[in-house]
Amino acid sequence: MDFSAFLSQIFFSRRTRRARRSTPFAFFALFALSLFPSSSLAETTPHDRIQAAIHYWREDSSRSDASMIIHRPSWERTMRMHTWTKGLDHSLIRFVAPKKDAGSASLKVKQDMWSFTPKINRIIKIPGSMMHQSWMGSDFSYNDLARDDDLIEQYTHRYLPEETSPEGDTLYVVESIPLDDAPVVWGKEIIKVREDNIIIEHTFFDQDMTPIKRLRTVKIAPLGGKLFPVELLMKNLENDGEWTKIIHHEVAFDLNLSSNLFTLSNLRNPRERQ
Amino acid sequence: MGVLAALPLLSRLAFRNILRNRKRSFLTLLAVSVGIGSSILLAALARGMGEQITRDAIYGMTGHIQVRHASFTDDPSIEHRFVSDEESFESLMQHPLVEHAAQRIRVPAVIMSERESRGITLFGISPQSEKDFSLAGINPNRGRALQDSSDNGLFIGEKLLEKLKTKLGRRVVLTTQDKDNNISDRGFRIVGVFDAELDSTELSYVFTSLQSAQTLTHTPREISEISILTPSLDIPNSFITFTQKLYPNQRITTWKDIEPLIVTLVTIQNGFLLFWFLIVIIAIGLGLMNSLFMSIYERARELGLMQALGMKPGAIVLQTVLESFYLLLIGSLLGIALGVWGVHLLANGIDISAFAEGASIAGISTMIYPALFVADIAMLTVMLLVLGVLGSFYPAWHSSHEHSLTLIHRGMT
Repeated sequence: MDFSAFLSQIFFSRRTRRARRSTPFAFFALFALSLFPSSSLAETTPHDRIQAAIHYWREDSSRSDASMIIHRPSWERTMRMHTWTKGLDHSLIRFVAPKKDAGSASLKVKQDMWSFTPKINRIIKIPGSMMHQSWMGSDFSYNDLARDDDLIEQYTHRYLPEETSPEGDTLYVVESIPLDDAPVVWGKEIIKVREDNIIIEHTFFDQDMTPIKRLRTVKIAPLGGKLFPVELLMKNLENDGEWTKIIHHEVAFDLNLSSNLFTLSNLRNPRERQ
Repeated sequence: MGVLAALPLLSRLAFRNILRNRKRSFLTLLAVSVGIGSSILLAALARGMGEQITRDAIYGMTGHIQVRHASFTDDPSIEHRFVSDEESFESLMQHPLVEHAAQRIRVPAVIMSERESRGITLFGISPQSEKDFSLAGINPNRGRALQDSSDNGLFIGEKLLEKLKTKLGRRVVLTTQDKDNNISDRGFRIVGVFDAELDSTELSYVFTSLQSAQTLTHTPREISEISILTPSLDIPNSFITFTQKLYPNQRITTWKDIEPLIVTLVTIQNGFLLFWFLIVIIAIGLGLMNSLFMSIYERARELGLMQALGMKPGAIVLQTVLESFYLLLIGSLLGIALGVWGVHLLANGIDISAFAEGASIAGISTMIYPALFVADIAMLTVMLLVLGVLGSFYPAWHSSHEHSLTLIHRGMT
């Protein structure tokens, strides 16, 4: 890619907002370019990088079997869950263990979320007031689950200087700042992505730019036919000793998932293959 | 000679009897005046509190009259809205009884910062029409007020800012339901912070411009309510009929329907005041009766002699009753002076901020300003005089019905 094409990509980007920020970015990019003459940085905008990373994580559709460990200073519990996703708009999470939680499920369609609790045999639509609250007592909020596509549409992204992981991989560091009217409370998010689009670290900052919580990929291994972030750790940076870990046991991608998997009726009466 | 014709003479006798035992009369006067004075002060404080609660409620986004969708009061959601009709609003503004009127969106919403989220009531307002009318037009404590009907800023209370652990100029997210019952949310920047009388108000009211609220709920040109301010708390029926004609499909409610708690609170308070007056008066009356008995026993011999000389029992009764009447009259005049002086001393208000947390539940602000009502003073004085005089008939009757010789004999022992 020649230099003029690169400049035009910066100055005629889709978002005017990004163009306004382009001066420091351009300087940095020039600097980066001089260091890595054929860097992929010049080819992938930070926006596309994030989109690609989210796509890598879910593909067009996915099914997974995973454990979630919720750790608190005085207790710890482990739950097992099955997850199905289709595109960015549909996902279904069903708990299978322990017995106490088995059958509990959450369904997300576009921006709406419902949860089903077998004990009371009721489907509850999660109201806006609850979206900020903890999901199943973990360090994830309902918003973390329901709004991951916001990261693509509601933020402006820019590259920070690249880092090198302890394993020696190059990490693209993207700083994502929510648009002024975005329904996002964070001041900024910093996402570190590997060359192969695996997200290594995702940190949420408040508007004082103090980190609040951090999602880290702890272990990457081949799963579902490709390298996959098998272990994820969400850590509450304000309360020491509070974290949630997700360990994937099985993942499959690009399945032909029926769309009635993501319906309220299926949320109540599971018909999917376990 | 009728008993009443002897009134001047009997009055003179009654006065002399009062002055006879000055120490006892002074103590009785003290009891009466302290009782009356403290009751007046208490009444003024209670009235002041009641007035303040009513005033704050009306100022705090209620107004005197509300035009709302028929079901809004039962379920204040965005579902119950109506189209803002400029023509009707103009004719409403022309009415002489309308001091202020404002169109608003009022919906329940959730406000979220990085660390906290709270349920609030979101108002979409036109800043010009709220000025000098309601809380929404209050001057900001910090930052700026909302500027026009398309301002995208958020105007929130100091206490809410503190609870959300956020700051002026920061972004927060508002989540509410739109007209199709879907979740609708958006980031807003806090542009101004207000300081209200009550913490509960600061915590529950959040303001943005009418247009940005309409955009959030996807209801362009529609509103939840029209709030109207009239010159007095009592609203003539003709005006309600007039408003109903302008908005035939909506429900016209007065502040009494919207704030039943306050109406009840003030009613209970009035009942309690009357009850309190009765207790004070009965206590004063019993004390008075006691001192009357004392003075009658002291003068048993004299009364016997008067009877023997031909004074009618009725005149003796009247003389005793007059004695207590004058004591009560002087005592209550002193008491009124004492009460008015007390109210004057407290005119700058009593600071109850130490109990603010509890008081705010009932809508009481941190300062209580006494409000003196002539009707209260009149009622108290009349009640005291009537009940006191009735009460003193018993010792008076007691003194008159015994035989003169028994009285003289008793006086000699």
